[in-house]
Amino acid sequence: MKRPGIEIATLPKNCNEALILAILARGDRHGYQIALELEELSGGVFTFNHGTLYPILHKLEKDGLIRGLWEDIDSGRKRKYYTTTGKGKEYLTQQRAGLGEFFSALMSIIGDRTT
Amino acid sequence: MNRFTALLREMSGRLDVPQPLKSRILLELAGDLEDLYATYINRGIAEETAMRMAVDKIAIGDEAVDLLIRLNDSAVKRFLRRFPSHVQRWIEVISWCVIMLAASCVLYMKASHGSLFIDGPFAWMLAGITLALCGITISRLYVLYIKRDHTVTRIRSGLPFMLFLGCLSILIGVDGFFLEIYSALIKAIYAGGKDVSGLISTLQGAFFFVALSFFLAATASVIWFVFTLKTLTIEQHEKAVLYGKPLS
Repeated sequence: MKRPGIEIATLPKNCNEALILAILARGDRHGYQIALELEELSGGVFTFNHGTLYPILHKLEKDGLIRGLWEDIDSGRKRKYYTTTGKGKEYLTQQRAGLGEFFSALMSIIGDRTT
Repeated sequence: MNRFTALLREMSGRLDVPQPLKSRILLELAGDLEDLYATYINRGIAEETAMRMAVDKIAIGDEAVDLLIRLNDSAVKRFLRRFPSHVQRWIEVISWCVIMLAASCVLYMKASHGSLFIDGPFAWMLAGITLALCGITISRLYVLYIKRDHTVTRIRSGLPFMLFLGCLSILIGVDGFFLEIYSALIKAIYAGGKDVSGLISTLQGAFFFVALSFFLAATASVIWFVFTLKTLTIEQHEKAVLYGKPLS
């Protein structure tokens, strides 16, 4: 029997990481922009408070999947933005495959069989 | 000052991570708060409501703080966190005592075999100062660089005492020098000027002793300077966020 790449216990972690990497794959973003864009693109289904977002971003940065860079803004402030790395893009591709497989298997069980 | 200073101060108190990482996390938060606030204002939301919405969106709960702390723990903290807090303290104290015991044994052997070239209370006082300086140095080194506990209220603990010990070392060295020479001269006079070799030996020991005491004072100053620079850097990083000054 084929083992799925994603397990139920790690599903939330895998989903969070995949969502963030997918947003960053579209372009560099500040932390709060990631949260706003996720909410907008998912029609409110995925809502991230920064309380959840920051630890995930830090973990991804530590694992080398994203890079945090500082930029100078006109008012003399420094702002941090994130960009994905080559390793992150590769990881996202794997996550896409793994999550696709997982949800196909899930829907094959819980899907409506009466129609 | 940042309009969200109160929230950042509260976060700063809860976020037990080493500097400069802590100030970077808080600066990132501060920037996101401001930008989110500006986004809501541009959408036509009232100022107070925009501030409240920004705070609700950005505020980091206890679980997230714990995750951030665990992610950025030093190896020592990660090891210590396996134990309850009172046990952690005991582990640190016992480890420090073991190291100090080893240092004391070495110093005792040096002092008791006359390796300090001068016997008597002054040698023992200098040995005591050396031990105390070792203790403080090990303790500060552990806290600032190994455990990386950068709690601002505790980082300067023990540093002024290092300078005091350095000055005490000079005082003891100079006093010991003159007193030993004085007593050797008196002995030589009573011996009718016959015990010249004893006098020379005492002079040698006394000069070495005073040089050692100055060396100890200089070392204490250098170590104090290095630790003070580190604590200043930590304090500057703490202020950078709370007073809106950018990172250097």
